[in-house]
Amino acid sequence: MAELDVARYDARSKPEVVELLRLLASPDRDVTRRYLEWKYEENPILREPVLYLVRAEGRLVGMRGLLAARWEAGHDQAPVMMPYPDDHVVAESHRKSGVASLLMRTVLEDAAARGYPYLCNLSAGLTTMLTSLAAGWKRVRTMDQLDRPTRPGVLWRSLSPVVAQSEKLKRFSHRRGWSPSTATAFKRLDRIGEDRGATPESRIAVVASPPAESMAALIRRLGHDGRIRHVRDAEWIDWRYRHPLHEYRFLIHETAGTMDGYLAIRRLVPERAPGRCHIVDWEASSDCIASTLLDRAARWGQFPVLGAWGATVTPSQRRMLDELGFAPADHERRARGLPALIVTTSNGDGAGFLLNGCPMLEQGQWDLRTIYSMQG
Amino acid sequence: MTRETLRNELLGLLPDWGAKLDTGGADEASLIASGRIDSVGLFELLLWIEEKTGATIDPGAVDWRREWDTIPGILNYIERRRNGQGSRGSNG
Repeated sequence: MAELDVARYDARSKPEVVELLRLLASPDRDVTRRYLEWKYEENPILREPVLYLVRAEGRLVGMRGLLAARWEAGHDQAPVMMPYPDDHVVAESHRKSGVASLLMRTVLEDAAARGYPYLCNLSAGLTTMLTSLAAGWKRVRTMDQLDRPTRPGVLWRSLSPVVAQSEKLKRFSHRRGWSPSTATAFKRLDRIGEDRGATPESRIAVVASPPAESMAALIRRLGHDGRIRHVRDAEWIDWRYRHPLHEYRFLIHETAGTMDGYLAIRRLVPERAPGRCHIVDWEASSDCIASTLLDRAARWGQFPVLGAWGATVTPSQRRMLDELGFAPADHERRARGLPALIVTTSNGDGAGFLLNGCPMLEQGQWDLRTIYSMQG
Repeated sequence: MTRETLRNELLGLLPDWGAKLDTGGADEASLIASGRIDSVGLFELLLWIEEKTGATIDPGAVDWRREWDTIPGILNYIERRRNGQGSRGSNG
């Protein structure tokens, strides 16, 4: 096997990085380029792309990115950079040849040199999870995938055996919104547009773009209990919901013209089985508003499957999910402890794994949202 | 399946998983901390251990460097799981 060379990304490498990243992001070259640019060039936290590239005989055979992420922890303390290694790709020809270990070492060394003592990951698949744990990463908690499937309507249940036999009928029924899909669910939300809210003087609107300033203002008004959470300012919210492989809808609750709750739902583009939409963030100034947002989302969208991470909700929100029929799902991944929050130290000295004094290895110290993860 | 049979099967598979070992010191060789097995090799090791124990393994509940870093460590782990005992230490 040829000797491996590791180097930092520079703009001249972009075409070959896009080629390798297609294995992970999308077979479509333009979509993958867009994803790369969005994630590493447009991230408002750090506009300098940080990616590590491994070459064998000059050919790119492995890569890993370091996504900038800013976290707040404790009371009245400055946010801390705790980046998120992501986009781990190794060419098939060079798997089992030490590329993953080399990338992991390089990421940790460079993070330490940049002054980032800790790194975290919320979206590792099984192979990345194994590589990470074997390298000494610590698992803080699993995310507890919950799903609420919707039984298809009577019309679809009677038509589907016929439709399944014809590609033409499949396309037709999809266009008409008869077949259960996440795209159809989003169209149903869009058709509702707006309705009354939890109280007579309030309203709920469905929008496709995040009202970032209002969302950030609500988050600020609701306050911070000191647990570790990602900084959600308007600039980050505006960037984060432009993920090129995802599409979002926002149910916004307003009273007298002021936002007092929102529920953000994600679908994958293109659609993937099992047709799951996912609640990626959910804030409200009262349980009544939170419950109304969830109930309307489920009722209006009639999602084939609506998912949420149990680890990201408050006890009262968990009760709301239970009452609406959300139940533990993804049993095979769950048995392997996926998805999970994992953390490590970049300098080999965990110094107690404290972030602004918050013990990072205690799961109760985290206020997590799916939108912090690249699953969101 | 005896411990010796398992050991021979594992020795036969390790090169396929990317781990090149000297025949003499195979039992002492570090497999994981040394980086001999990584990425897909770790995945294949996990699947092999699952097959031998007949149970899905939560990788976060294994102390990889203590329990799975050597051939004897892996064989001990499989024996413990078959005898209904769990991991000796959690990774976090």
